Amino acid sequence: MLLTLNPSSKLMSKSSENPDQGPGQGQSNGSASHTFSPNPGQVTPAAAGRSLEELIECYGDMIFDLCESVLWSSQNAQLAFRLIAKDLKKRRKWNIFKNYERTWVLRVTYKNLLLFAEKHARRPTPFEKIELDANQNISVRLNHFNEYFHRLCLDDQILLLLKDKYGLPYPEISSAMNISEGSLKIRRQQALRTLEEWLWDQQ
Amino acid sequence: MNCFEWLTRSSDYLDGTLTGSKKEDADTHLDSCSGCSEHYQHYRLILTSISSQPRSSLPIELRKAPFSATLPRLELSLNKSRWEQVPWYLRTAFEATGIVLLVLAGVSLGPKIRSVYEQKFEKNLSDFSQIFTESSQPETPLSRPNSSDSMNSIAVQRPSDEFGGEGEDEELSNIEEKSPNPGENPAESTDVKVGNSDIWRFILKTDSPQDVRPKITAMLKAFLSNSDSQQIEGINAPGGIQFDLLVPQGAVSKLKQQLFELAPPPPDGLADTPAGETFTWYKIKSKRKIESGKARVVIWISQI
Repeated sequence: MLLTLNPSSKLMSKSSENPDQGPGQGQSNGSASHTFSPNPGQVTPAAAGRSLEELIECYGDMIFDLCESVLWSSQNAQLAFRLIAKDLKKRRKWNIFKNYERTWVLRVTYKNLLLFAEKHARRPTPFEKIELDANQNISVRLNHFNEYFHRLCLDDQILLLLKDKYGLPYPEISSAMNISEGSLKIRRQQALRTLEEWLWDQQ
Repeated sequence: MNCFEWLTRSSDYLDGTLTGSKKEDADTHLDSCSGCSEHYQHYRLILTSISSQPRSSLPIELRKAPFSATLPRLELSLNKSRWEQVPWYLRTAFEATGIVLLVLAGVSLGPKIRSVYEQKFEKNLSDFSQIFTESSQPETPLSRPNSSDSMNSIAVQRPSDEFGGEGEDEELSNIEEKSPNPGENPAESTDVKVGNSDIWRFILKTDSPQDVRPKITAMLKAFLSNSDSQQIEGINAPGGIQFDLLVPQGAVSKLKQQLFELAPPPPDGLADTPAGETFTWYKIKSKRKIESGKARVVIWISQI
């Protein structure tokens, strides 16, 4: 069963019900689901020993979508995915997050994606930025939300995507990005504030 | 709750994790503060935009064979210039070639540029010197010899033997022919070769320059039919009298002989020493062009 990543208001409401259930807390659920569930409280435990094919089957869509969202290119996302898959294959034996597979996959994905994106991520050119800022209408600006979003730094992009697109809990993001939860909250708030300035305050 | 506190807790408020009295405070603040309420609406809109982004699925071929599937070429990012998109080995080769060419051009053009600069500088200097001498001559006619080449004049006043010979001038290093050793008769070598652009400098030491002056004037008049009377009579200068004029090349040897005859005998006890030489001469090349068939003669009568 492939994972389903359906963005919806349910995701927000679910996350608000049980928002910060981290890897340690999720173990008690006893869920052995192999699918990437948007439910942030549903953490996949005890998955060590699964083959790479199973890992890709389980998390492939999330990894690829994250790559494509950050890199802003389907072609580059495929290359980044292969890079991540190779790293997953290599590190599978040394998985220190044996009980929290998704966190481990996210960590490997984050590291590799950051390296790849620093070289190959498409960023808005200065001309595009000027063109964007020239739009006075807020609806026009919101139509170009992607361009504004990719003006954020890579860490902020990944954080917003993990938290607000996939609905992952802070402890899991914190483990994946190796940033404390408090810092994550502040960074998210700053990223939102920056986007708001770009979209509204310049008018 | 004030605006600052609401902003610090806005992340939790947006997630719905703010509970209890804090949530009530936040709700109350949002009702009363239009600014924070506007921020809240904006944040909600942004979060909705992020969560509603379309999601892509992993391509089937990549899912089936993640390592062997044929992947498209790397799409170069648009923020790279065309030059950055050129392969590194070509870029490096071009840059290295450019640097080498730049260095070679600098090495080859450096001396040329320097010589052009020096020529221009010398021209400006000589023009200035000419203007200076022409303008200063009517006021102080005797302070400087009427020479177009001021450097030559200085050289005349500082012959190496007369003033101890410290710091020879550039022109003195070009001396082609010198006076013979002390005691040797220069008149014996009457067959003097006089070339073009020669400056002959004769130095006569005497205890009474003013007595020798009319004799030299008479001597020069014999060689020169029409010349500037001021030049023939000489110019008073600090430490002696100077004659500076153009004479026919054939007259140089006779002039030298007659000047030797005019020279007084050396003082007692200094006959064989450089200080006892009462007549010395040398020849240098002029930097300026001299009229064909003529030689420039500078006679310096020095006070002992």
